[in-house]
Amino acid sequence: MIRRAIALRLAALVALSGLLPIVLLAIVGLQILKRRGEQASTEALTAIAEQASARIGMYISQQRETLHALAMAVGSEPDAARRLADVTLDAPSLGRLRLIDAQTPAQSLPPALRPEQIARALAGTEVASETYIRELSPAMDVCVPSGKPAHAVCATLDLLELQRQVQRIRVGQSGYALAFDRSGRLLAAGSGKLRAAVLSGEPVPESAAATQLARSGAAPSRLAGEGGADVLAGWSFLPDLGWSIAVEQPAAEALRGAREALVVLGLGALAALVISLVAGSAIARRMLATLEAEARWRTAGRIASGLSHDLGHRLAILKQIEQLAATNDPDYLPRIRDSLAAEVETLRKFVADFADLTRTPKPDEFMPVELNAFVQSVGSTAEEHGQRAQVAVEAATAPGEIWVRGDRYLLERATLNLVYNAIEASPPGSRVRLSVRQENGRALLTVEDRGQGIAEDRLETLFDSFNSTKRTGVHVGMGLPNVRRIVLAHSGEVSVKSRLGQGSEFTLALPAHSSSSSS
Amino acid sequence: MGEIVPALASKVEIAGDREVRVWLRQDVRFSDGTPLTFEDVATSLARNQLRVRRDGESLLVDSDDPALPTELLLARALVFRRSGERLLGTGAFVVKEEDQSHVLLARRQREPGRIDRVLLQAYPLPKDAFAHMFKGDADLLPYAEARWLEFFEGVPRLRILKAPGTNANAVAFNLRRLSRAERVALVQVLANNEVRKLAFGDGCLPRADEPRTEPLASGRPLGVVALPIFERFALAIRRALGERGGEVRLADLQHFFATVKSGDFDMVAAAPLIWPPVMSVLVWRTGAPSNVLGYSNPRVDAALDARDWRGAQRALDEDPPAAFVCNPDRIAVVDARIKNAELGPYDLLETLPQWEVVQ
Repeated sequence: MIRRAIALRLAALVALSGLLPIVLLAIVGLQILKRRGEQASTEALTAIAEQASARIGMYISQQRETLHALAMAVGSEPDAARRLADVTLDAPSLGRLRLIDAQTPAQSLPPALRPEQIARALAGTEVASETYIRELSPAMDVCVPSGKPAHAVCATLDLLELQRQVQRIRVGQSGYALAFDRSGRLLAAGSGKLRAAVLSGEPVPESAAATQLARSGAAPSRLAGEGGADVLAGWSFLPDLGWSIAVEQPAAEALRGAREALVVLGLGALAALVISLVAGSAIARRMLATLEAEARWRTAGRIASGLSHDLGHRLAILKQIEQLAATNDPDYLPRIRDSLAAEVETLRKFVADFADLTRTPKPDEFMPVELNAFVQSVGSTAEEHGQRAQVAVEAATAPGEIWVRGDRYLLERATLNLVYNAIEASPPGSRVRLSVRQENGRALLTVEDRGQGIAEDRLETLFDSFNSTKRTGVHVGMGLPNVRRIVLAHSGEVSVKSRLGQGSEFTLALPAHSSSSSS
Repeated sequence: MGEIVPALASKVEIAGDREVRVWLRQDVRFSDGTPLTFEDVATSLARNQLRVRRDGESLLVDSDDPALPTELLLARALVFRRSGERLLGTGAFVVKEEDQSHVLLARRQREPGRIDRVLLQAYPLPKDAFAHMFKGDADLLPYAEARWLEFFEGVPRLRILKAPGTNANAVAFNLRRLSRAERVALVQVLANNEVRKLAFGDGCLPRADEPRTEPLASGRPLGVVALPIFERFALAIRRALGERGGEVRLADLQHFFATVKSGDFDMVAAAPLIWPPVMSVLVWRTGAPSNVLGYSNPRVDAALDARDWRGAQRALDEDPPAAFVCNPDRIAVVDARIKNAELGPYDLLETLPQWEVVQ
């Protein structure tokens, strides 16, 4: 399980470190693509708007030229009125043509031309009104010289054809064109929904931009269109007519390419991440298994080396005792007996150390342990050993109860190990001190001695297997690694502080529990 | 084509020279839910110069009018009942509110999926009506001109309905000023595709029996009187007349009818009833109320008396009171959510009770 988690983390680390720069690079690239896409779309829309403007301008100009030609050809003829009326059959876009003079009644004059414009027209100057909506389509009143003094030929140009041109423009799936007059009134709309505004004169969202274009020559290329939709727009302006042409397309549609690229990239990155994690995890697990096997062999080698060293030492002593017994000298018997007893005790401890290694802490079976009572019990147990070494063992309790949960036997083995090490490291006449305290939710158990201390360069590997400083024959170097194994299994940690010539201080830190409750 | 289909009767038979036998449907009810009675029929038909008497399970209807066939008078008759100050009909809707600007109709008995209430709203100008259609405030524009249809094309929420029109675009002649021979010659000059296209473009269907075009004999210029909406038609007529094209006079509705009544015209651009054909003949019967031109043709009258509608039409063609140029469609624009909207044969709203609304 641990190996799988480590493998996954390794794989994630490798995958992220590899993919992240690519993804960042791609995001930056896409932003650039999006910006350029927007610019390209706006340019394309502007080009369409300009084409439409050019066609509209040309159409108006042709209409006015035709009117000019007709007025000059017919306007001075005796049957001018009838012939002009007939023109509408062949050129319906010119509307109803009429010959006017100073006596023409007001109701027969073009409705959108002011009196001073009419006067200028009768004086021989071509005049034109602003565009206005007549019936359903835009119209414009124009008067041109008739070729007959003090007369003019007037027409109400029907600009339905221009409306058709605007309505016919389609961009992509839902892009369309709009035409506005100088005041921002909508004159023609490619969008059916906006045609109501053509007739009612109500402003549409783009009206403000159209007015701005007419006044300042500039209009935004991205704006909120119909229904608040984000749209890209290309604009064009016809100064003579005062028309603004907008060709717009929903931004989402115009920039679909960039967005799709982003989605594809995101999905690609995600797929690459998943593949990296799956493959990386599998590879890492195999590598970890190989490393673990190698470490296991290395440990076995170290154990074998330690065992052969320690057991070799014991065998050498037993050989000396055998040689002493072979002399059959009764004087040696007490010495032989004491030596054998000592060797048996040493081998018993040796076996006990290994027995500790075979016992695995099981958190489900942990029980509450009160540390004040615990250190007093451990102190009593170690007292005899201390007396033999002429070292006092002192257990200092905390003011209140301090509870932890654990395997009492293994905690005792770990603490005794530290206490015995401390006694053995202490000079005769000194003392070893056990103490407990609680800090930041942790229960701390400290074993201090005033021995020779441990060199700083050894502290780092002190808890590794077979690293004992005391190759005296009774330590195989499994004690401190076992202490660490036990403490880690209790979700705690072990630390050491030591100064040469001043002594050492080992601390077990375990999660504190609030009470003796077993839950 | 053009046959009269009974609405309130289950069966109609010609019983004699001036008599028609009618079997009433048993399930007919007025808008207030009460059944149709003999008295209702008798009272209603009396308003149309028709008499009714019971004859077993059927009714015998006859008329005092010597000019018109009883069945034609019967076809034009409306059956109603007076209820207080109002008149009740037999349709699916009853009038709930009414004033100069609107009429509110409500269905007598609600039917799931069918239109329950109809608000007929008057707008000051056509463009206002169009704007409200685009906005979605209005769901039906019952009378639209063909030239404006492109304005509605490409609008997803609207659908255009078309049906054959009941009126023709025609040039009616002053019978006192123009002889039969002149009128026949004028029909050949005017009732053709050139005039139709010039005046109406593709928005008016050509007549099937288009006469051949022959030059008009020389003579005095002929004037045309028209309503402003027919200005282009009048100009096209004048052009078709060539050298005989005279003055084009535009007149508002009041002046138009005054001119027709006074007889001070050569021709008028008009839209006479042509459908159903048997009904259109009524326009030309000597002394018929709709015969405003005073047309009188014994052969037409004889054919009508003999119920020979085709013969009456042939007699009309030989002594034409008008040149029929083309037949415009009736056009309506309707909200696309109305599933089975279609125009009725007589009136735009005839089929409305059957229209279904997509929920």
